Amino acid sequence: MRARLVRSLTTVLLTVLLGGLIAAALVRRSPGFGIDEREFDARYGEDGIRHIREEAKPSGRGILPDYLRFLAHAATGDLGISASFHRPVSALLAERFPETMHSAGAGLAFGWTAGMLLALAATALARPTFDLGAGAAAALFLCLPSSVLALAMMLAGGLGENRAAAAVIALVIFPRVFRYARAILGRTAAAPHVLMARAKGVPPLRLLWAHLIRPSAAAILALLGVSVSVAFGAAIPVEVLCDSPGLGQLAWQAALKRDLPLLIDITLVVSLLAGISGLAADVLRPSRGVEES
Amino acid sequence: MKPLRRAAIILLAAIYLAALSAGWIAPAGYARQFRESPGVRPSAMFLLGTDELGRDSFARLLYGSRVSLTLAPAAAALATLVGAVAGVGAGYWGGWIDTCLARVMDLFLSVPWLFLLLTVRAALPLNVRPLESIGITFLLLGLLGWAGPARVLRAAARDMKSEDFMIQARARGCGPLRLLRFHLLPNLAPVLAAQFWTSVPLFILSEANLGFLGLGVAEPLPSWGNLLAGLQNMDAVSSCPWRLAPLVLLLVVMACFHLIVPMEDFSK
Repeated sequence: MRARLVRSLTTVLLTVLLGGLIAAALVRRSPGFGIDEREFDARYGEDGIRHIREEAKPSGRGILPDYLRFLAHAATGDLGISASFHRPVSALLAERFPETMHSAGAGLAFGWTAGMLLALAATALARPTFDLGAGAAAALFLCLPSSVLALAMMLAGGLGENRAAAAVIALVIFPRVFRYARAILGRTAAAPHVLMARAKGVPPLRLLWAHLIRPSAAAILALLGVSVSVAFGAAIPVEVLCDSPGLGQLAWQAALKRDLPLLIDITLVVSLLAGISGLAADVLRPSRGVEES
Repeated sequence: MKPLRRAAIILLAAIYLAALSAGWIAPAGYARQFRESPGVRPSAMFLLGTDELGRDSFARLLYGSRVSLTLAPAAAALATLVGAVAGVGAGYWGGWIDTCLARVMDLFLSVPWLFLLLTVRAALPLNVRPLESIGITFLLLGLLGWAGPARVLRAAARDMKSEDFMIQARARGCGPLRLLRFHLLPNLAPVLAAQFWTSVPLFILSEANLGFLGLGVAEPLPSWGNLLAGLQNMDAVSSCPWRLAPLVLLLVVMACFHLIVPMEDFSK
């Protein structure tokens, strides 16, 4: 167990480090790297522009030494200065992170609860009309981009920015959890051991918990990590449209201003979180379930 | 075939046909401004009215559908092709090739999809000509969306490698290329097709999200993304509900895709 945990954690860290290196190469090779937009402003005059060019001049070192230097600074909490916000990146991340954590956390909690409850109800009731209705509702939300859901939430009004963002993330997560959990629970419900338990007259609640939920838990929990990644991805359009000042909105602002170092720092932080949540889901999963056995 | 599925195929085909005939149905084009009639209501001349700049909304919807509905499958084909090369290669050859490719797939899949798109899109020039913006948007989708199909194809190729017919073919002296060409790929065709059809609606939605954020196809060229971005003018939408037409069309198309191909890719 411990060895598996260490191996998984190492894999997550190595993946993020490799991603960071590729991102550093991407920044270096992107058109316009090392050019300050003030260079196009004639008001600075020739001397001013030369000074700006000297300031913005790339270090001249290779990508790898620069990346290692960045990592050494990052280890002390220094992620550099954002070119567009003129503020330390770590301060920007610290400021915006709680907002995204609140909306994504609440959205994930509500989305998972709604999806699981509906999937359990559909499996337990086994009524085609209920299944059809729940499936249609899930399909409707799957058909809409998260930006449109955010817009609809803003049009409906009534909720504050943070609650609206959480509600939209819940609507993004709910149909995915429902469809996946419904499929797994449906397969488990058709297994011989459930038929046997039913024939032996096991009470419905016990049947649900011991014969349906527990054997399916491993496969369903595997989705936890991926759902965190989906929630963070949805946070970009949702926070932009709901005007919620979180990491998603910051990433969008950085993209529009082509502040690539900031954007890549945000992406690495979010990927690290998604990787760790995937790891946590892996640890939480019971070792054997019907899907795996 | 279920009647509902058949109806979805017919409806989707009709929408594709209308989108592809945009030049014939709306010969005035998507960019022509009728300056004497900006923001008019639907009429016989303008079926969905005009926008604030006097452009025919129906023509823009048709041309926008043409962009989204033809280029999303193109991007899906590219993603499936790249995924097939990487996934089948990794699954078939195994060893260090498999280990390296699997790590790269993990790397792509570990970054939330929209963050990945946004980061790479921002690394490219933002102020580009409309046609270039189409190329950039859909090439990005195709080149970044390969990891999902690759992982599925890798698992399928690895399983198939140890099937009896593969062992027999190898025993009869089939070379690796012949094995791939005549034995592995034909049997992987259903998996490839499923990956392609699953990617199309995901890319349509991704383009819509990018367009909404102002990082998709550039004006004046219409696409579903930038047409949906027009809905942000909430006052105009509540007083002119026909402006919701792009959203309704997107919903119909996505519902058709869901009826035709069950969507199981959770990661995007």
